[in-house]
Amino acid sequence: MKSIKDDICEDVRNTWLTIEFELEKHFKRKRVIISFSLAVILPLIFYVVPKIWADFPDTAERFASLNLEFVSLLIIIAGSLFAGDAVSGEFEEKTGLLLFPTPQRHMTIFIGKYIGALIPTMLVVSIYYLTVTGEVVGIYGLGALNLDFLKSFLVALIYSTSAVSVVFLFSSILQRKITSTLLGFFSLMMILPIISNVLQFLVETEPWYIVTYSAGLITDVFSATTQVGGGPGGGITRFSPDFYTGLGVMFAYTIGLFFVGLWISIERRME
Amino acid sequence: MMKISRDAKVGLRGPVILALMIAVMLLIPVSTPALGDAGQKIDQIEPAQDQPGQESFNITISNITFSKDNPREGDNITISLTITNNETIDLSNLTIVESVNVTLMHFEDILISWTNFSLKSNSSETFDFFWKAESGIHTFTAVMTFNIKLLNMGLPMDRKTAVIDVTPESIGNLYYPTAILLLISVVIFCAVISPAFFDRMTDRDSPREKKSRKLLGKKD
Repeated sequence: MKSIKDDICEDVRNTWLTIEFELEKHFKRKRVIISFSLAVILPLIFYVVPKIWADFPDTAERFASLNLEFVSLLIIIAGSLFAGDAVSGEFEEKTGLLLFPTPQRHMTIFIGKYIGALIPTMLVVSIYYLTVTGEVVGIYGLGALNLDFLKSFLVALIYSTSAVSVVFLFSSILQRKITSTLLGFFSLMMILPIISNVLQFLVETEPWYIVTYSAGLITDVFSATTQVGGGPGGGITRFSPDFYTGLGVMFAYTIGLFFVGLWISIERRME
Repeated sequence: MMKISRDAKVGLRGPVILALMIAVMLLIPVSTPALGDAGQKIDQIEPAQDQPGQESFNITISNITFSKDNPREGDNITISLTITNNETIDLSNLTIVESVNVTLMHFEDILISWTNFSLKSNSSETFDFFWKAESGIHTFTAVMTFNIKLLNMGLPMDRKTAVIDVTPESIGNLYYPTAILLLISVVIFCAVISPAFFDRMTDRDSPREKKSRKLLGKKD
């Protein structure tokens, strides 16, 4: 019988092998190139267009806030791209028939797939922030950078983990990879934001438990508004996520959906 | 008949006051600079220009400044208002002007008024107002009014607007998101290594895993 240490080392090694395989797969399918290009091009639009036709915002915070509003969109795209077919692909293409009978624990396979989707998503976010930082330094100078940028970056990384978890769950439930990718994408892009908006503007309740609502923290760290009235005589009530609650919700989605997805994947049988 | 004569009296009062005001204005040719629009920077407002050959008499609000250019919510800001007397006589020696009143407004609300201040010729005086910054874009307007003795009324003589953008207070701290990211990494790592512990305690290998181990001749 092997020692616990050997067992742990073997599991870590197997997980790493899966991660490597997944990353190689993403490179071969040109997903990495596409998403990395988007991570550079999208923030550059905010630099090039005002440079030619208009002026830059007065402060670096305002520029970053405007620019980073679209990082959540990129996180959803990258998350769907990398995690959409992580599990469902094995079942649809029947590659699981070769993969699952190997002595590698199923848990390490699926965790490896999850991490294999998480790493490129986080890299995409990092490249986006690096580009924005370069722009801010170019326009406003090095002194314009403050800790809020780092805070926003960390929040974006946490949001990317929760987005990957959501898509990973759909991938482990659904049979076809296109369905899981699209459902993961649209739930983060449309379904959850629509529910969030309906709750905010029609029911006038704060949808603090919806992860896409908490994603607002990415830019709120630059210009937070707790609860703003719509001007004299009242108006529309607008909510903003609380920093700690929002991060707690992201964490809960990440861990909760990751384990649910993992459990479903392990219990799932190939037909 | 009575009604007509009352109307005639009322009708006469307007032109008389107007004529009197014009006469006073001609006597005191105070230049009023263009009104600053909301959003217009104070530097962009043109200073008062004297007409050549005209007797100069100008007391203007020359400046509205803030102690911080890019303040954050909660900062204590000093709003400084500078009144300049470009005239050759002291403010207290003016005969027609009873007093000069300067009011500082935040949007439509009056914050403070300064009145009956003495200002020597060719000198400036700065008035400070302390304001606790609230987030958002705020417009401060200073209005200077001359109280004319003859008319017993105030005439707005100068007006300047300054805009300040207050960045909202930073939310949260850096430790919390860092700790959450670390926690996520730890949980995932624990999930990777947990079977090594749990499979020893309980025989949790799925039938397929057991089969594959058996096929490869691997011992538990």
